[in-house]
Amino acid sequence: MLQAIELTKRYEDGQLALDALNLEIKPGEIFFLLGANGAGKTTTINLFLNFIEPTSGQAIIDGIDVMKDPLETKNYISYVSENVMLYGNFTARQNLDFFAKLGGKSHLNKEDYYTIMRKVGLQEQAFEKKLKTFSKGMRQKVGLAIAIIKDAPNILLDEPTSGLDPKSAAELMQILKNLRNAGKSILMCTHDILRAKSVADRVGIMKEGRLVMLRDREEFLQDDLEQLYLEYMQETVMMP
Amino acid sequence: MIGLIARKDFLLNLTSARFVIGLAVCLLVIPFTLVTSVDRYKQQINVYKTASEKVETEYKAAKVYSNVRPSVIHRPEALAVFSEGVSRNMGNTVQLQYGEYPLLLSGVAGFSNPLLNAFFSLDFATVIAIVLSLFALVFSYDAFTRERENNTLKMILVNRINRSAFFIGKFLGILLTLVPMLLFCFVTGILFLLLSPDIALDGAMWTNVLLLFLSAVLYVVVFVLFGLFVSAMSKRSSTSIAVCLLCWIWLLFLVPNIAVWSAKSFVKTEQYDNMQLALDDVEEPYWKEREEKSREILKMLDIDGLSHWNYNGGSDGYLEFSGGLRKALDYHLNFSTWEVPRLIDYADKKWAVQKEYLDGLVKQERFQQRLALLSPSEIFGQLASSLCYSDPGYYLVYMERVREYRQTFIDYVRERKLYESSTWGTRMDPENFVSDERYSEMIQDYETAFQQGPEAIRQFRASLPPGWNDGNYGPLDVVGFPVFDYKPHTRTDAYNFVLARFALLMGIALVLLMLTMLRFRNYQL
Ligand SMILES: Nc1ncnc2c1ncn2[C@@H]1O[C@H](COP(=O)(O)OP(=O)(O)OP(=O)(O)O)[C@@H](O)[C@H]1O
Ligand SMILES: [Mg+2]
Repeated sequence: MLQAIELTKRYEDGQLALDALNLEIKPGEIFFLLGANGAGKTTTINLFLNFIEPTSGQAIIDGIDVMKDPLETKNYISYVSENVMLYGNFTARQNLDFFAKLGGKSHLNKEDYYTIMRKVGLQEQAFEKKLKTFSKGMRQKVGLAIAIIKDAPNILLDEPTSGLDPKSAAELMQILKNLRNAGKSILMCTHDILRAKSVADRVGIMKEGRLVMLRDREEFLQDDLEQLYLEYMQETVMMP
Repeated sequence: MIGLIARKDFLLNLTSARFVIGLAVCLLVIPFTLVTSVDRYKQQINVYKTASEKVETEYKAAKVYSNVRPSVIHRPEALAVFSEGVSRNMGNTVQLQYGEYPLLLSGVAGFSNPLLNAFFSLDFATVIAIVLSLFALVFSYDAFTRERENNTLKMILVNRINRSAFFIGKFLGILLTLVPMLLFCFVTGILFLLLSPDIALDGAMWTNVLLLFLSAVLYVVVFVLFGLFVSAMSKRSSTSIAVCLLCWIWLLFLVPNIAVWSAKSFVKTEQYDNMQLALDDVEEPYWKEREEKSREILKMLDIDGLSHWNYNGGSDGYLEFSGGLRKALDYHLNFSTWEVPRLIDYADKKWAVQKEYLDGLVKQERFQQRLALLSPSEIFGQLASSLCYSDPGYYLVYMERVREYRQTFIDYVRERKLYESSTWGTRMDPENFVSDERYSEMIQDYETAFQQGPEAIRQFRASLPPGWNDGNYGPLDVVGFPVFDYKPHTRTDAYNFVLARFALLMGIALVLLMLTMLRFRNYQL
């Protein structure tokens, strides 16, 4: 379970990137965080991951305050970064192996890695190829495999669909659904409203560091989510 | 966790282009450097062998005590193949004199300070210092920045690993890559030594090779930590590499030259020629005394002209003659008895001037040495030359030993009052020298024989008293005379020198380690 309580981040340069965010993502829930560029989505994720420290408020993972025991919380999260680059001179399997061991999964064998890579839709002949030969989408898939293999109860994804072809994106959504059904709490930051519509249990729209809209699945299915999003965005233009 | 990170970095480094390039550079440069150094050593040792044979022959051929003049030929140190230090600036010969202390190995005149290692000689240690520091930076400059740029830093820190562990793992991974490179260089170096028949190292020397290797490891550690520190201070690899390269040039090439330049401008030394002039001033009364003494003895013995059959002499107590007046023998005995102790006294007086000059050189060198400690490569260089017996300190101690040897030798001569015996200048029985009258007769006989032809001359020569024709005596027995012996590893000051520099490198490494660790704790992802 992921919780944000009055979570606020003001960067050293004075930029208020996140303004008193209150949010709770329960086990078995996929939460989509939408927002324009610079809205504060990555900042939110970074706060949960303890990559930056909050100015005030709390980020809580499975009941543990991230600030109080950052190392402990790392056991309960996995993460897919914005632009997965990984180690170009390692093969997909070697990358997976390294991160799996870092995540505490030291007993896995080649077959386990292959199974996961198949699951995220990586083509078989790429398993033992060096990552520097991979396309962006292929790397993204390995990144996803790394997040999945850790088998943590909470998963944070920062724009994982960017660079994925439609088929792979659809596969990713299916994987996310499966993970949700397995009881994971999933926070996904994205610009992809269509995907949000199809898989999200809840959607939040963020603007200038504030969560300006929060809808359950039933609610946003009734409205036109795209329309809603644009309306929220437009307000910025209208009220300068 | 640390092991996991280290292993990952090690494997990545092994497959990287920079590793291949680094290995190729070592493969090319190290053997080449060693070939030239070993060659130079072979030449030196040949020169040494010829010179010492010559000196030995001369020494053993001495027929009179005044001619027993050992020369010390400096044996080139095999280890200097690894680090030349100031060995290039030094000559190899010292001839012992009663009238003067030896200052430095001759072959160098006074135009500059031979203790200053101003030239950039590319020996093994220098190549290691340049190449491995560069590779240490090349492997470490992007340690954090690259992982940051590739988002892998975030992916790693999402796991239960603290930043210090990550940093240590990173550090070990780089070391694990560089130490084999270093080992490769040393193994090549050692193979070269083992395969050269002219080079034989003793136990102490092998210990020094081992210490040199450890110093090199420490040196590499310093540069790896420096690269890591710069990386932890930078956000982008491009900034980091620029800063690293600038610092590298500054530390390796500018600091040493600035140190030499500063030493030359701020610590002035006496001109060698001026020192020589000052020595002449000190010596001036001696020459007067000498003349007076000579006149006094001539007067005392009532001699108006010195006549010898065969005579050879010099100003530093050197004297060899045979045949002639009994009075001439008495004169020489009297004169040597006065001359040799006087020469020794004057040498002591002159030493004050020489010492001052030498102290000036040493002061300048020490200044340069201290200032150069600002650069790790210079610290390593000083360590290397000290371990390889080619540092200024080695030569200074060597000369001290030579001066001590001169003292021992002189004491030996003095105790036995050799210069008061007739053997100082001749091997003839004093009884066979002749009176004034007999000598005049003999001269006349000789002139008559000369007019009569070669046969008469031969007959005349045969009629001379025993020993008049030199060459009738074999060489003196010089077995009892002290001989020079020097073992470089008996130098205790070198231990402190090496230890201090070792500690300094260690200190720098520790400070960099702490700073990087602190800095990386707040590294922005
Ligand atoms: N390290 C930083 N220092 C200062 N300001 C920052 C920093 N990181 C982000 N910001 C600012 O905080 C705001 C939120 O940035 P954030 O990266 O969270 O946006 P985002 O929603 O992820 O945008 P995008 O969709 O482009 O990824 C932006 O205005 C950005 O300029
Ligand atoms: Mg973002």
